[in-house]
Amino acid sequence: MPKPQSCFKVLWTACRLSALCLLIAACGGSGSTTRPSPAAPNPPPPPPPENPPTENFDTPEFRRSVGLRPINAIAAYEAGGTGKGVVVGVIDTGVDLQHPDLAGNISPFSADVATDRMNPTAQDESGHGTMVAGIIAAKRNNTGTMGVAFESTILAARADDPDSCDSEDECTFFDRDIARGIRLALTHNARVINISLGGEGFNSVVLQAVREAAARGVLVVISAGNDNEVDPSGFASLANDPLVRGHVLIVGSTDSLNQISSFSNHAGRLADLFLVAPGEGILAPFPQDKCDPGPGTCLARGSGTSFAAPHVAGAAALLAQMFPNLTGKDIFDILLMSATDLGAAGVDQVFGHGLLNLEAAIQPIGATGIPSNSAGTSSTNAGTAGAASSAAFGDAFQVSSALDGILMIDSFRRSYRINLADRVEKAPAALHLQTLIDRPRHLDGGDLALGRHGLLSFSAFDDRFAEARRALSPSGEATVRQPRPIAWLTGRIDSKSTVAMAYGFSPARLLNRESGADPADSFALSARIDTPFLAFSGNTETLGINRQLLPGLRLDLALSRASLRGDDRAAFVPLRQDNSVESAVAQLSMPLGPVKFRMQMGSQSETGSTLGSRTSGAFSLGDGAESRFVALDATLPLGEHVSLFGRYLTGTTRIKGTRSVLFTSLNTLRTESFAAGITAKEVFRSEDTLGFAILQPLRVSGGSADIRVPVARDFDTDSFQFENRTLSFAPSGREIDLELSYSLRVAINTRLEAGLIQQFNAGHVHNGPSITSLILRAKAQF
Amino acid sequence: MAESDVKPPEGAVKISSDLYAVPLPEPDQDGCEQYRLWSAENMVVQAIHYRKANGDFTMNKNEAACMKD
Repeated sequence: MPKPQSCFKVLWTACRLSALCLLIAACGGSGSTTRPSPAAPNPPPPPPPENPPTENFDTPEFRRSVGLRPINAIAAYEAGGTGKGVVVGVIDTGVDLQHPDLAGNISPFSADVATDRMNPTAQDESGHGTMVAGIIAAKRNNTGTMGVAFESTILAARADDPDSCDSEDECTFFDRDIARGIRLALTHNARVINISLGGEGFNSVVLQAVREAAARGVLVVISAGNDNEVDPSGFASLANDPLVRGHVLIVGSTDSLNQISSFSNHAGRLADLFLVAPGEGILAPFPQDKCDPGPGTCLARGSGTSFAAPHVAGAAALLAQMFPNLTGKDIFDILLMSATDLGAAGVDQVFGHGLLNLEAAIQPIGATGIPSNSAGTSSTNAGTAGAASSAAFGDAFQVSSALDGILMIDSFRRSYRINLADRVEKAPAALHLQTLIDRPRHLDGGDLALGRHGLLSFSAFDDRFAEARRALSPSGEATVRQPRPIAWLTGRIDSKSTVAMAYGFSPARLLNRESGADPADSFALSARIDTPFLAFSGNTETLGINRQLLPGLRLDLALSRASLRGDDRAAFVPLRQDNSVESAVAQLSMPLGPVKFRMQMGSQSETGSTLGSRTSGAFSLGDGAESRFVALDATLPLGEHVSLFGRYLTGTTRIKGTRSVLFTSLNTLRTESFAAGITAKEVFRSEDTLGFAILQPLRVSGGSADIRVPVARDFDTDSFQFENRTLSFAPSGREIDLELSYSLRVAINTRLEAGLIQQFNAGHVHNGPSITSLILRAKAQF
Repeated sequence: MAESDVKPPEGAVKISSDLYAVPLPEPDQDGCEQYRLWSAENMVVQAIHYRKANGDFTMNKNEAACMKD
């Protein structure tokens, strides 16, 4: 099973019965940078707070509890881990029943299980049991120390043999009493049992009790032993019994540098059942009567695998509280899989699986899914859920609350709340300036006349700026576009009709080339976006037919197909092999008085995308989309050198194909774009052109999806509750661009061009960034 | 408790009838000599022990003679 995913910052504000809500803090808006947070066992009655206060757990009390930082306990606390409601059995020397750091966290069913004690009492006379209990469950009260699971409940089973103790109350333990202690813990519903004891071996009596614990799904945690041997102690080896394997963890000790303690037994032949935890210089509660009277709580400092094991027991208690569906075997697996690898790579014979790591333990492990039925027996893949949204959608996914608070489960069926919007990579708001200034340069090409009516032109696109980009790139790397062929074949059918076939040209260029208004000749943005549905190139094959119907009235037809190249956006949404776009457009150009009109009607069929957006996994909208669009374009000359222009486009898009089960229906999208402006020639000098334009890039203006998502879980019935929501595809804002452009011929075949573009609400984001772009280009032909 | 026939490890210090403190090979980083508990027949706590000034053993390092020097 794969290791846990990388971690994120998690906010936990929910508790099952106390009506708090669980939230996820999203870190970053593009790509997967936010951690899912464990979901509360039951939905809280009041709505969750938008921004729950962040509690500081890094307190002096936390730092005194020296084992907590190395095991990354704060991450669990910030996610709401406390151990509340979980009973941890401690088979040991009892516990100081009156210790201020433990009072309230001790089960009333704690008892003396030693067979031979005259006056049975669970009161600890040695101190060892109190320290172990304190490492697990000392209260978080700004005094003394705090336990790993500071709100868990200790079920203390005092098992030390009264006839074996010395003057310092150091005693031995009979197997039969340890077994009685285990059964006491089972009787009172312990989820975890800690045994910080060891010896040369074990007998069938205690083995049988451990088997009973395993059969009831209880996790048993045992110290590895302090003999500095290559294998765990004889007692610890009972973890390898076939009937308990997978329910008993063996714990070795590490020092403050995460080195194996000099006294600790190693993992050895039981490495697959072994992990390590801090066990040196551990400060923990000690019986009050063993301290000098005075202010403050009684603490002792100790070392040994005795004190490493309860760190793991406490961690197990946290997992049991945070994820109530987990069995003891699940917790066993999670703690081992999530341990920080120490020593030799992988499971090794010193550290076993490595160092206890709570931060990793609470993160999703393995395949993740979003339940699609109440039993959670079927789900849609969350791990591959993602989208790379195109500019037309703006921030539609990010601003929608419909994608937030959705339950996801991991391979252990632990539930987490996620915001699917965090899996959406929004298109960059800034213009891709290179597409405006970069033009293909002929390489090893040429023109070939084909009779009287035909001409074949061919060339290759050269990435001229690769070296410059590498030099300027912070990492010294740069995306290099591979040279691609461009070919252009034109032919005259008759005196009024021409046909053209092109490879590597956009359909927009083909449509307008015959009219002399090749958008690629202008770097003005307003000239480039007149037909956003046709503004792709790449591996495009286009067939165009042009016919002069009447003087001034011309019909252009274009059919094109493009196989889209991959790009470097949204690595978690891989480009499908069959991503392609097919389009058909008819364009009618005619004068009406002084005004030149142009009307386009077209359709576009995308495979693997929707308006250029790609989706996958639980976010999959479908296999593609069918769009229809109409555009009107008018140019009005004002005298010899000045003209006004205006363009408007509207379209509808229907998403097709098999969509994720999350989406119960997808409604038709509506899109629009417009531009208006003025151009003037010979303003300052002859052969100069000045232009001003206001424009709106293509924007989704309407359309939505109905989604059905799991939002709560009932752990009593282990069922999921669903909610119907609506996801709007319209962004929150409308981008408006102002453009000022100027070009001047300074010499034969040499032009200087400048453009200033101001984007408002860039990326169609309400109150979004204003971005200013300045383009300067010198163009010379030889 | 009857004494076992199994011999305790070398250097072990008898604490009670079947309980010994066995010195570890090396002191800890504070220079304190460390002991582990051992019993031939029964189980013992897995805490490192130290000598107190009076010669008794303790698991609480704050009480160890080496920390009071």
